[in-house]
Amino acid sequence: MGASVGQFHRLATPWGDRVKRFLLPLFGVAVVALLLAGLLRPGDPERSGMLGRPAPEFVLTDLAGREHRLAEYAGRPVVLNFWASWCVPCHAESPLFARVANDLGDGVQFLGLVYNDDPRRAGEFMNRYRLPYPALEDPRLQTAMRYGVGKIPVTYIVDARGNVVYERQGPVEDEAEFRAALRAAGASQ
Amino acid sequence: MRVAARRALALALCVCLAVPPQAQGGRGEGVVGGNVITVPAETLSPEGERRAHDLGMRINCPVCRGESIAQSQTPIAREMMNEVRAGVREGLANREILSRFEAAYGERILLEPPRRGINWLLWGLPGALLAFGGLTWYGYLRRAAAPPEALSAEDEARVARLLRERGGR
Repeated sequence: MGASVGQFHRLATPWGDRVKRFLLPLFGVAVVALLLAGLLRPGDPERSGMLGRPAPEFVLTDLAGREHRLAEYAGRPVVLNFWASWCVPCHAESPLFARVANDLGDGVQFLGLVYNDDPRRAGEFMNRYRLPYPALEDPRLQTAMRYGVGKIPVTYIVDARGNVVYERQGPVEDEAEFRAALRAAGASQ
Repeated sequence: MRVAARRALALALCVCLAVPPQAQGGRGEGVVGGNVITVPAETLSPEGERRAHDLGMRINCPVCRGESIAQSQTPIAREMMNEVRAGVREGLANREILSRFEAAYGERILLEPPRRGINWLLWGLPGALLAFGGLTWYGYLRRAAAPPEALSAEDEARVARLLRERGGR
């Protein structure tokens, strides 16, 4: 009886000790820390690739049949708002746009871009909120795609030099912040 | 006869007005009831369509996150697929077609993170973990198969004494 001494294996080598005592727990802690960092970090607001870049040119027709080019508004800030009559948050932000557009007058050009909507309903929407600016039809959503629009509403401010300097995914709710962004883009008020 | 003619004209007008409003665009587009229905202007070859589909599977639907534009039925996704087909028709490389969408929508539009910058961590980590695990396992097997180290005379005597004590109980 009795085991042979030779049967005792020395598996607890220095390297094995190091792995078991330090490296594996350290690896586990690192993985957990990485997961926690990802979970606890506030989500990045969704952004298109447009901020800071020149606004893509477009030529679109409004509901009254008049043609509009972005280039014709060069030299003053332009607000581009992608919306639709079936979009609930678009209804929420429209009174704000009406107010600001009326206040700023010709100093800022507002353009509404109709996103996949019936022209008649779009016209009713414009009348309902008394929006004092053109609503442009975007056939086949070509302009929406070039501006990185998926969900609506989306609002961009293009400064006097033609660069996108403000982007808002979702409804514009903070009027003070919006007016400040317009001032930063070159609006006089 | 005049009454009959007027009735026939009225009936014809009613039939015409009963037809749902439609406007025909120039490239296979139809607007029915205000909803835009888009049809690709030209069809691709089977190989081209397969390539367009594969590219579409790599682009995120901007409305239905987690779904590709090849699978999504939203209007914007269908238009984006038409843009992909247009790129294939123009003979653009895959990278150029994807770059167009990335330029407008940002990196998030791609279902596969592009292989650059910190994204290499995502692409490299699984392989690195596999290699690390494999090396660790190999090292363990080698050590386990190695012959046992010889004990010192003192340790041998100690072990022998302990075995005797246990055997005696």
